[in-house]
Amino acid sequence: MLIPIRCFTCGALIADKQEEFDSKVREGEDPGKVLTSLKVTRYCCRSILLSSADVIDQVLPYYESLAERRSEFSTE
Amino acid sequence: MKNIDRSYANAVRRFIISEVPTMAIDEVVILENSSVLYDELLAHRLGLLPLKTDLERYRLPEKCDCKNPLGCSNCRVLLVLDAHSTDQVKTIYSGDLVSEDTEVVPISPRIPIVKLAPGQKIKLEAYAKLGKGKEHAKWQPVSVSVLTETGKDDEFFLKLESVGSLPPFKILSEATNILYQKLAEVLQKAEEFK
Repeated sequence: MLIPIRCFTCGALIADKQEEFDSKVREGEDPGKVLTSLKVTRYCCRSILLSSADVIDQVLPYYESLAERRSEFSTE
Repeated sequence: MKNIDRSYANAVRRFIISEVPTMAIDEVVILENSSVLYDELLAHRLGLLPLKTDLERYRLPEKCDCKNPLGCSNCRVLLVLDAHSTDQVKTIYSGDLVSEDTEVVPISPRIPIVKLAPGQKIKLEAYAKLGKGKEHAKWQPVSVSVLTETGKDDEFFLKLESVGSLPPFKILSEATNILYQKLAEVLQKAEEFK
């Protein structure tokens, strides 16, 4: 659901680099170069940062609207 | 590494991976979890967090003389996480963990553990212990430990990349120490059969 904390293959820490990676790529930088600048050099770690999708972001809106509905219900 | 036998060099490489102890969260008591992640998944993520390790201060639970299955102040560290979200989606980071020992903390405070929607809550106690890589990969001090040939006899290149819980030099010295201790043990046993 969330980015894996460590690389599946080598066990290096990768989760703390995701936010910087995502924001730089969204600004239009080349993903490969961003990864190199973050010192993610092996292709095992690189593939995880490149390909992971945070499914939790698709699930949370339902809980947000649930919380909203609850607060409406309590004020009614 | 120069003037060293291949088998000895390889033993050092393997000891780096499987015998050098590091700190990792091993047991988690979940008091409250209304997040979208299951308790097991949450505990697994916590276990994988690399923690700063002080090998002089802490002992392996099996070598500690407290003989307490819950551990004592010399063989375990308590970390507490108490987080909730009130009005918007909030990411909980490794920096939100409060440790009993300020020296034993995750190596980066920016590791996302979970995201909470409004109204969701997490409350847990995590117990970190020293452990070895041969038991679980979360206790491995390195991500890379490789021996490569240099083309010359009795000369090898050892590449090791620390995960961050111990400095590389410490890992290497600890691995050779453990190897030395084990060899001394074998020698001592052999003496008994003389």
